[in-house]
Amino acid sequence: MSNVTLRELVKVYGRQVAVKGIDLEIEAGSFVAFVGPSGCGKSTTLRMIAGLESVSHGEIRIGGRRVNDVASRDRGIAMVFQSYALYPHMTVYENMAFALKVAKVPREEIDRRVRHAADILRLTDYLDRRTTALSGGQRQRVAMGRAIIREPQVFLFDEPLSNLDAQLRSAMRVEIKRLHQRLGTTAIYVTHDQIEAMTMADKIVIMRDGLIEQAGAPLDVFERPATQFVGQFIGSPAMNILAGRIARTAEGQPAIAILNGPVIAVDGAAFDLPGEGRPVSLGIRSEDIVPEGHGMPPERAHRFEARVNLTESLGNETLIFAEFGGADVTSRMQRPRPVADGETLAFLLNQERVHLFDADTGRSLRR
Amino acid sequence: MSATTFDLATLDFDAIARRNDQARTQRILLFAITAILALAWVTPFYYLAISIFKSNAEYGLGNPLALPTSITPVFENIAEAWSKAKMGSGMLNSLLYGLVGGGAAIFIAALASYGLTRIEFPGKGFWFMLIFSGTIFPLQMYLIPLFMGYNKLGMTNSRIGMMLFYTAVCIPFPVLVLRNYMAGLPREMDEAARIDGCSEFRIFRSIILPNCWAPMATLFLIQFTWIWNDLIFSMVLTSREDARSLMNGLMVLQGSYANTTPNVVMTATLLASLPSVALFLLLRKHFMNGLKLQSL
Ligand SMILES: Nc1ncnc2c1ncn2[C@@H]1O[C@H](COP(=O)(O)OP(=O)(O)OP(=O)(O)O)[C@@H](O)[C@H]1O
Ligand SMILES: [Mg+2]
Repeated sequence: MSNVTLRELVKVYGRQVAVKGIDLEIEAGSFVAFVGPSGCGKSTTLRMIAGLESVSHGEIRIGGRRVNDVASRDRGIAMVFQSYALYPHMTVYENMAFALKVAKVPREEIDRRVRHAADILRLTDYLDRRTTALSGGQRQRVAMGRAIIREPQVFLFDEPLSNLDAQLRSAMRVEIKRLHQRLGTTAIYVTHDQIEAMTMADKIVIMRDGLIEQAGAPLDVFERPATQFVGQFIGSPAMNILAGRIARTAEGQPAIAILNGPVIAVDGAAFDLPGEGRPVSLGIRSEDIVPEGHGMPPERAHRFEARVNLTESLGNETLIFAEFGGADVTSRMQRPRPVADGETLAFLLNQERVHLFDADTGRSLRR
Repeated sequence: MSATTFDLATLDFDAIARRNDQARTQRILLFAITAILALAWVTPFYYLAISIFKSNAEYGLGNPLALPTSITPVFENIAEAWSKAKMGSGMLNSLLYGLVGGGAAIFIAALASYGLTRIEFPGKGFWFMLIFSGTIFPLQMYLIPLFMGYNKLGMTNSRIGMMLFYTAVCIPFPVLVLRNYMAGLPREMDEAARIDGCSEFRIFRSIILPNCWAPMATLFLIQFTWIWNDLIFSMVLTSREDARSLMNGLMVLQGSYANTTPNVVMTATLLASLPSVALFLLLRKHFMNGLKLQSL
């Protein structure tokens, strides 16, 4: 396993800049997930690391060695593609053995390594099958087998699970994670599914428009989003955002006056608040707006009543879309009871879980 | 079960029967037309099939469409056709031109298609259009300049010259087909191969080529058959027996014997078509797979 260092990484296609300068340190043996909306440059960054795209500016180091001008095959990387990219004219065995065959590894050694990988991935019974005669999950495992057999320094994954159905996806998620624990190889994993990123990675890198928006441990990114974009991107359903202004409560405490809504007290010590009257965005996750009587009431809560516009029942919980402060907010109802559209419910907004963002730049105001 | 409110007694059975009848007369009419067309199509084959079993005398005397009295004359006909048309050397030459010309052309076309779909170089579109233009103009256009050029280079009546010519004219069309086919093969497949350690040529040989067998076999069959059946270029560029193709030889035979022994000429034409048929049967599997894109 190796560490990977990206410095000022830029990729341009003609005049269009796809990646706008990325600095990132990926520790040896860690599992890093790149997330971000479509077109933000995740794949491009990964493909530069893989050597499939040239680097326009900046530097990539793998295990301390500068690899900008090193061919893919000599970078010590292996990649799993979204489409699996298996060789359709070869059997499962041949697919996995191909890299070693090209490298002129002795036949017995190839056989030993293929069988070992097949054993890990539970592919032993399929070794003689054409890859066209496999299910999606099996193909996925062959693609993984092809990667691990090369014993690379770094694994690269480009949305490897997005062609699988939900059930298989969560199964493979566990499998990839287990594989990573077992092999300890550095892994870089591109996905646009933030649940994959949250559950698998040691470190999440959120990209937006060719730049890194925030990088950090999953919980850290979730609890302390550096920008409004990150706050809304990580977590499902997306964080509620309410427009407001800096104000004070009747008792003189720092607070946010929601536009067309109430005044909500905030913890003045946790934030760098601008002057009174300045616009801010208040972010609050759906689980921090609790319908009264469903789940623990927060210690410091702002109670409000609102009309229910729509509900989505997920079985173990119900998402409630209600009108608050002139906007639509989402609330999570634990131990749900049937709720009719148009019904008025009382909600408790957890004031200690409020996020504040600069209304212009979107930067978090948290200290 | 929901109870139906429809009363079967109200159904107009006669009307339905009439509609069915109408459909049947239409089908009969259609069948009659197809049968006539089929007959027109089959008659020449029938004529050919029976004629080769007739001796020259039998052919001359009886009704041309009558069944032969015995099948033994066919051996005599074959022997006569084989020697009169010099079919031995002609067949070897044609085989040489078809296999080498068709094979080399397809291979070169595959290389070109790989370059056109996988390698970045300036003027890609222009080069493709240039090759593509080779399929637009009628080949006869090249006849005179080619003949003069070959004459000057002393390449008429030469096997090498013929192979070169056939290879060259058979490249553009396969490029057109293979370029499109290869463009449809997923790029990620060769990127995976590149990461797996392949050089550019190794990707071509080990990954792209094996996935192109079906269209390549089809194209080879088409080009082989064209070369095999080509008469005009063979006649213009060769006259001596040692470089002459089978069709050219047949032409000569036809010229001198069509009136006196048409049964022998017909036997010769049938013999001449056998290799193409054999090749088709041999490549049938790939041919049937045709241009079906098979990828993951
Ligand atoms: N070969 C190319 N030529 C021109 N522009 C490209 C090329 N490849 C990618 N781009 C552009 O670069 C940007 C980043 O693309 P990239 O594929 O990295 O996005 P992504 O984050 O992987 O998105 P997705 O989640 O949809 O896969 C996009 O705006 C895309 O249009
Ligand atoms: Mg992508």
